[in-house]
Amino acid sequence: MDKVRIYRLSERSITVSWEPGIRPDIHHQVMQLDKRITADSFPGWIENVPAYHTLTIYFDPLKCSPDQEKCLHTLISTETLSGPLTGRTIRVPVVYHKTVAPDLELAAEKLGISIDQLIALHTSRRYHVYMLGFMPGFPYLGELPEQLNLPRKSVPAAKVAAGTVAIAGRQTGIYPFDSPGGWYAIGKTSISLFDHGKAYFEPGDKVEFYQVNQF
Amino acid sequence: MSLSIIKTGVYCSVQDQGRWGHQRFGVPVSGCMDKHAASVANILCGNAHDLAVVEFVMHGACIRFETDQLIAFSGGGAIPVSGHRELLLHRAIFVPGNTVIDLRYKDKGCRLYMAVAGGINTPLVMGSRSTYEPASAGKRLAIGDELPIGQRADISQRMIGKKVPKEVTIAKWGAVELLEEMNTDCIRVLRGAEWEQFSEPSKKKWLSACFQITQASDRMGYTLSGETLGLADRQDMVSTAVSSGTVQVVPGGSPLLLMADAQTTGGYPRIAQVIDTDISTCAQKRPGDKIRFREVSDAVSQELYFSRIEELKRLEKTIRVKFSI
Repeated sequence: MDKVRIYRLSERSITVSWEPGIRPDIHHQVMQLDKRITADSFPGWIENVPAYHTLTIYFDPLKCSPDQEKCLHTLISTETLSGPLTGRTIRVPVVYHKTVAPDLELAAEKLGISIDQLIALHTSRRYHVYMLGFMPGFPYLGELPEQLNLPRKSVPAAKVAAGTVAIAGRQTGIYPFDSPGGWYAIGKTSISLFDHGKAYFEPGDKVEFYQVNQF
Repeated sequence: MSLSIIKTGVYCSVQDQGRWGHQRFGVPVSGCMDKHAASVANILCGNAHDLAVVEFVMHGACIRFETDQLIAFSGGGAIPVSGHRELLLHRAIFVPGNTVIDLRYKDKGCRLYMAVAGGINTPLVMGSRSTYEPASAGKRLAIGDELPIGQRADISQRMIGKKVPKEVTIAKWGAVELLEEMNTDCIRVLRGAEWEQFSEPSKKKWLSACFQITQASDRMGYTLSGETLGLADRQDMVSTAVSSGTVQVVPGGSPLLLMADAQTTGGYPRIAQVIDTDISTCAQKRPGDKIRFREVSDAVSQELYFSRIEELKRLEKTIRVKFSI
């Protein structure tokens, strides 16, 4: 396994980092290692946090052997981190309309395409859930078609409504709760993304958006 | 068995040692900002070190105990007072029913912890009693709230003794020597994951300059002012896991020190990681306070991590021996 870097994030965590980037093949390895460690965890293991090109492993240093880093090196260099992963495919209904998506017209204008084209492009792909972060349940989905690539707003909106589907860079995401946000709001879904301690998505899931006229 | 909140002060909430196991879903660990102080307070009144406590930010709060309780305070930022009597930190304190405690002004520290024998027994949410409102885990405490208290351990019962006092009684023994550390302004750090990418002047400034904790500071993190820092070459980073103690440098160049409610992932370059032991020191800093950073090795940070746990175990053992359990 080349170009893997392992570093301590804190006394209680180690990060395994592949080559930085947003790539399904690298994320596949992240999720493989995640699955491998979850299935056969070591004493003191607490949790894994998958991200785009990193897996961060939290543990209790009191219960865990001081050689944990070495063990990880061995695991990564000896295991083939390939093979199928059973991610779910989840279809998400979205209303793309200016009444619920304040930035829909602005985004289309900035991108130099029509609203219909924007919707067609956004619903044209199956996206990959690279990670959840920013707030409980917020999925980072990639990768957007190049034609939808917009830098995030220079001044974030003070309030983005819960359920807002938004885009920024080559990413798209959904806001679980009302919050400030710097992404362009292009649609809204009725799905509840974080409820009673449960997130709707998991890292590794696949997401397809489809257009609906109302909830 | 409960206590009620008569006044809240700036902010107060129920916290424990954190909500672990849900970070992959974007749920922060949360818990006490000064986890060490909370552990000490718990142990001193006979609790397991990780029970839920009340975290008070600065002075101004007022609480009333409806029934007899054994409590202990640790941390800083306020002086607990009952009537005209100052209640010492780091002592077990017996309070009879109907006792009212006020938190008075103190010029040092920021967060006071109150442990109650039996622990604050609010409902568990995702395995923790820590307040984190965005995930509907608890709510900041408000006037009139009543907090349930759990079943006291045998050792707490022994501390109270057979003859239950009629008035507030402060134990003659305590753990006074644990108090000093929070007064330092020197915070020890490890190199952050992107350390090498920072410009040489930035690295130098980071380890030599004084940084001030700004008003833009809360349980999620502290924005620091003093010097602006930057990368040698501008480059975009892909988000990855961050944790409490992580120091990110945000666009504009200000360092952002992540604290207990840190989001689980971040996309800004990380110049440093505050060692676990010194996160508690940071938790006792308030806006306006100045801090400096000093680099230590991985080995030193781990040694300090373990020696602090040893310190807590010793305290626990001493109390056990004293009350022969």
